[in-house]
Amino acid sequence: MKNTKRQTWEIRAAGAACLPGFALCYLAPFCMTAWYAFIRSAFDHRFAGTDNFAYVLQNKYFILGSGNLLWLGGSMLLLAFALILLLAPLLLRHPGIAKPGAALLILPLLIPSISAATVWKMMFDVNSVFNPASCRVALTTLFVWKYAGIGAVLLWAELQKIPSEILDAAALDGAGKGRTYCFIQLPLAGKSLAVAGMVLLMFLLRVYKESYLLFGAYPSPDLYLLQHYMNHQYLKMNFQYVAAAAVLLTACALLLYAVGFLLMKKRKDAL
Amino acid sequence: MKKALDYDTIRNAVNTGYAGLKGDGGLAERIIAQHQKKAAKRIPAVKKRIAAPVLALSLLLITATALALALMNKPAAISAYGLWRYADGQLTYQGEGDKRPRVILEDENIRFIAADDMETGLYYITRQDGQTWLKNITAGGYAHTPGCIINSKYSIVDLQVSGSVAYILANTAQAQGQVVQVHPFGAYQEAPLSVKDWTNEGITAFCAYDGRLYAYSGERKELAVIDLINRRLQCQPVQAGGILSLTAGLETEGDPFALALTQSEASGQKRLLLINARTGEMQDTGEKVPAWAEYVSRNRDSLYLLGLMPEDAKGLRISALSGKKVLHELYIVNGGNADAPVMEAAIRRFHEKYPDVELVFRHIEDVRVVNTELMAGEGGIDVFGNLFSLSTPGGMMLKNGVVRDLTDNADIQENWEAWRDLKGLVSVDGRQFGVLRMIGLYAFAVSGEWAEKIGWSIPDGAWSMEEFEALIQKTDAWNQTHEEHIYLLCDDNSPYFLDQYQAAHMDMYASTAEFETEEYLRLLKLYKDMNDKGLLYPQEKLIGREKSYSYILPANTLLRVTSGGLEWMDQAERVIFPPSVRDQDSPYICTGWYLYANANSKYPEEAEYFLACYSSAEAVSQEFYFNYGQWLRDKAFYQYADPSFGTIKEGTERVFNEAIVRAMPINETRELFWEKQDMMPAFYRGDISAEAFANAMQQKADMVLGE
Repeated sequence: MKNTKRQTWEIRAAGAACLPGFALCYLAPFCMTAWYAFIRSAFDHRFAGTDNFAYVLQNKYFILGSGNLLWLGGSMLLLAFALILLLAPLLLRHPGIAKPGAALLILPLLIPSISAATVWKMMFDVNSVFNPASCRVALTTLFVWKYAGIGAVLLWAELQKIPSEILDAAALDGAGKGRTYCFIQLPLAGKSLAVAGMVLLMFLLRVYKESYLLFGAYPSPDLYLLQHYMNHQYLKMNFQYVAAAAVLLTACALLLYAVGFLLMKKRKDAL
Repeated sequence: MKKALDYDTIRNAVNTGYAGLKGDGGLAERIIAQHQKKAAKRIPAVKKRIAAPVLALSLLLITATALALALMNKPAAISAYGLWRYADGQLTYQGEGDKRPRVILEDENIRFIAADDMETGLYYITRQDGQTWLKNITAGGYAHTPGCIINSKYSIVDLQVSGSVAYILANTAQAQGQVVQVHPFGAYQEAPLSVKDWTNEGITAFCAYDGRLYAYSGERKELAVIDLINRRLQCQPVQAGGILSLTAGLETEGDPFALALTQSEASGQKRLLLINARTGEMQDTGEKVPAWAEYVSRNRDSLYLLGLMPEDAKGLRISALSGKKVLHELYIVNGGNADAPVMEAAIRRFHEKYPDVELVFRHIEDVRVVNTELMAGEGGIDVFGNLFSLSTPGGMMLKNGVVRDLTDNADIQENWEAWRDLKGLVSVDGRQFGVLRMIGLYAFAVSGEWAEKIGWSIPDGAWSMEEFEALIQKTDAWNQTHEEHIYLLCDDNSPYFLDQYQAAHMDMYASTAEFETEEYLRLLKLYKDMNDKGLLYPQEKLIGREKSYSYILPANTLLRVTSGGLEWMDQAERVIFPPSVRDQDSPYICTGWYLYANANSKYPEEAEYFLACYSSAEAVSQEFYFNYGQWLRDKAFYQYADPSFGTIKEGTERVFNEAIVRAMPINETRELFWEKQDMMPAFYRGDISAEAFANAMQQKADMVLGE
């Protein structure tokens, strides 16, 4: 009892120690950015209310970028996830080559994007105006090749921790490999799946770098992402629109997180 | 008799062998202890074996470093916008906006470096093939001059440069410590500086800055200031002692001042003194001088105490050192050469109204850094210029509220009375966003020889696209019937007629663009036709000077698109007006460099007033009209005339001065420029049609303007 109480206080103290850093490095800059979303511009600090949000939400390129991020980004994410689910059990089933295999899967992450983009340009036609299909394939394969590996390694590490007795029991009960993987191993490795998902989402938001290297600042409308919109507004010195878009993006992310949190809580309560 | 190999024999042998072992414990323990001692003894031997070479190498390195430092007594030089350093055989430059130094040159034999105060780069003395060379290099890595050989009999002590003339302090055959003047440009000249009433010997420290030489003789303990342009003493030399190094201070009430690093003979303490070179009055600036300080150097705004190691540098404000009262600073970013006549006139006029405002010039290479600072509004940019012609257009910046609207500024509007009608170049929708700094007008350089050969009468004034199309047919017909092949047109990086079209059909301010029109398609097909007929000069064939200077016509070329100032354009044999694109009045386009007032400036009145001073007739008239054309209404305004420019051909002057009042600024952003450049090869190959090209341009323009 005493130990639990002490541990609780230790955890709270550790959390409190992180607060100043979090406030300084994240909260304060975010609040400053949010302030810019409510003024006319970086050069005219008069209060603009929700004008900036209205402009951004009505702008067809913001809508285009958001839509593409959702659809193109979503498809890249799903494809990467599918690959993770296929690669992780392969590593598990072949322990002899698992370690070098894991290293190989992480290697693309270490290769600079500019080097990868140079190779991709040789393999694909990256003229986004005249061959958008080829460009979509190029971006998707680059994203999956670069980032799916780390997710697979994370999942493999978690799968290794599952006690073999559980798998033996499942085999005894007549479950095949597929059913064992889908209905026993994956649910038990749920946390690492969530982490892998978050990591992929983080990389998805950074895919602008690869897109810029492949297609330049203004790709075709099919490949125009929200990040393009925000970067261009910054270069045009319309920081108020960048800020408004950032606030909207944060709100969406928080909403997603809230939904996920509620679902997990519901599942936990059910258990 | 052979002994039996039994237990006792072996034991005796071991005991005999280890008889000398001392220590506690049984035999085993003593053997182990003995081996450990031997191992410990072996280590010092190993250490000795490697210590000697390491020590020798260290001594060698130390000696080499000391030697290098001794030979290179001033490894750093301050230029207007950056710092040059020489270390480890590498010459590096770090500009104001650079995060780290860039290697410009590798040369193991550089002995002296000095930056030119007129910002033509760095001059350095190096040994090459047994001879001493004076060479020059810019931050971009190219040389203004091929270099010249210095008299090998000079034992050089120091180097200074001012106004592209080098001054060497050397021990010559005539005397020790002489200042020798070297002209590296044109016909090489070298001679000890000769000035009436001044003894050019025994000089131990000197500095050349802004047309003056500050020379200190340690023997005579005398400081002299020499007017290098008129070759006379500025004033009688004054007595001064203990000066290690000196540089120019600010002139105050007609008295020249020097800032000198001195060292007391008695205490060895170093001080920074302000010396009135007319009266000899010395004043301690009060600055704490570090012990490592060996010499001083300065640029327009700052003085630097420098030492022999790369990290030994301390910057100080010249105005503060000179005791000048400074209310606040006004920052001019990317405003061009601060020493240019037009800028000097603007500064003089500005200080008449704001004497206590110090103007600080900054140069920032990366436009994104400029944009970020503009938005941050934390000071550092009050007036700024666009570095590239494809930076964010002024109209767009006015629309986004980045720059101040100058339409209602009375001083600026009053200036227009002396100007020709060039207001359109700095305005959108009747609102003025900036003042003009430079114009690069587009025209065609023409080869009279080829025109005559093909029987083409060079038009004297304006001509039409129909006439140009007829010229295409004529040239093609000539190529069909002659062995020699003529190129009709060499473009200047970008297809001229497409740029001309875009200037009229894209409005950055109103956010409109029209590319999917009959006229644009017609122009595209014109280019395809010229390319198919082999009438366009291949850009990849341009090399050397042909590539750098658009007024040079490549071989077998009839016309070349050239753009630049009046003096630049006059280098061509002959220039003519470009033909008029069909559906617009003006065929003339230009790139423009402007100065703007930052809307976020803390000192908006001063910023706008500076622009008013810069665009005043008094300032503009200082810029010899040969450079950028006649902007002022009356030629008589241009009193300043540099004889080295010579005369301008009448034809060039007419074309330029007539064209600029009807020119339109190119409306383009980097993205559209590169889009066009990327698509042209595929278009010429026939991989994409004219319609697809126009559609792609429209799409891009809509994106750029519609975001």
